Amino acid sequence: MSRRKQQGVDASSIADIAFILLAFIIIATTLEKESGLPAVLPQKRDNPTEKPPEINEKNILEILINKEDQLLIEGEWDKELEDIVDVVKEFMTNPTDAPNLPRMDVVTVDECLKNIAILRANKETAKGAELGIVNDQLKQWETKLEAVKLVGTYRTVNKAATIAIQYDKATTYGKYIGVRDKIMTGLNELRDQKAMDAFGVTYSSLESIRAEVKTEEDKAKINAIRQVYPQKIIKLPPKEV
Amino acid sequence: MSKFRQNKSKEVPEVSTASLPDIVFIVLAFFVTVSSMKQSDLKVEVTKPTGKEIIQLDKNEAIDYINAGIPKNKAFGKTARLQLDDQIVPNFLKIRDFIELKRSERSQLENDKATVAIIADKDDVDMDIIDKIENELRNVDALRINYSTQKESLNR
Repeated sequence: MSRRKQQGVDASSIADIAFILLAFIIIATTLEKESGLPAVLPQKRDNPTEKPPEINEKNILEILINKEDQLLIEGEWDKELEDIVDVVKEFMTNPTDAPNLPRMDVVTVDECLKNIAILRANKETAKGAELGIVNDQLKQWETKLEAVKLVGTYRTVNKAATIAIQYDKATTYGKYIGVRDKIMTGLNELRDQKAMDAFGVTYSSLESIRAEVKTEEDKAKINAIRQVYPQKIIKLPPKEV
Repeated sequence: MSKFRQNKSKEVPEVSTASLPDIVFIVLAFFVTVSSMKQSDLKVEVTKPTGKEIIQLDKNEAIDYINAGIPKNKAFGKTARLQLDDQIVPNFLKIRDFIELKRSERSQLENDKATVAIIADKDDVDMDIIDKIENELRNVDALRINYSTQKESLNR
C-alpha cells in the first residue's frame, strides 16, 4: 500500500457553522436601544415637616390631568395636548413681559463675573453650612458664565419658574407621558431656535450626535442651551381631580 | 511555436471559498459587539406610550428595567403588576432589593450613571403605580429615570 500524503482537514463546513452562530446571535439579540423621556426625580427630603418654599402663582405653569384624562391648563378646561406646546413656549419666554407670567432674567458676562467675584470673596469667610450654599451658588454662576460665553447675552426665566403636572391617581400613564412629551416639544422648539441663532445648527441635531463622537464642544453647547431653556418639570402629589 | 500555446482548457477557474469563513466570522464579531442581549422576557403585557421628543439612552451606561402592566399569565390576576428581572413581584418594596442587587453587581462609577427605565403600559397602568415606583426609587436614591417611550411615527 502506497503511503498517501496526509490530506488537510476539509474546512468548507466552517462557513456553515459560522452562519448558524451568526443566525443565533441575530435572533437572540436586539439592536433596539432603550429610548424614552429621561427625568430626574427630586431627592427625598430628610425632614418632611420642613415647609416647602413659598411659591409665587405666576412662576408656576400648572397642567392638570383628571381621572378621565381631560386636561386643564392654567385654569381652563377642555384643552388639547397640542395646546401645551404654545403655552409652554409662552411661559418660558414671556415675550410681552406679562405680569401673570414669570419674570425674565437677562444674563450678561459682566453680571456673571461680578457675582463670581462676590461669591469668591464670601467663600473666604464662610464656614459650615454657609460654605455649602456659597459653593452651590458659585457653581451656578460659573455654568451661567460658560453659557453666556457661548451664546452671548441671553434672556431666561427666573429660576423659580416651574412647570407642574398635577394628576389623579387614576390618570393613565399614557396621558401623563403625552403631556410630558408635549412640554418637551415646546422646550425643544425654543432650544432649536436658540441653537440655530447661536451656532447655526439645531439643538436636536446636537443632541442626536452619538456618544462616541460627541466632542466636549458639543456638550458645552448643549449645556449652554439648556441653561437658557431649562427643563424644570415637577410632579405634584396626586389628588382627587 | 506550439511550445507557448496554452494547453489548459479555457474554463474559468473556481472562485476560492477559503476566505468565506473569515468573512462570516467578521460579520459575527460585528453583531456581537453592536448588539445587546434581549432583556428578560416580558411577563406583563406592555404597549409603550408614544412620543415625539424621545432621546436614546447611552448604551454604555447601565440601565435597570422595571416593567409594569397586566400579567400575561392570568393566574396573577387582571390588574397591573410589576415585573423585576424575570419575576412578577408581589409589592413595590421589592424595588429596593432589586436596585440594591443591581448596584452590587456594578462599580460605584457605573452606579452613579445608572438609569432606571420604567417600561409601563400606556392604558393599563395608572399614575398611582408610577408614583409608588418613583417613591421607592427615591428611597434608594435612584433618581435618574427614563420613561420608556416609542417613537410616534411607528404607530401611524
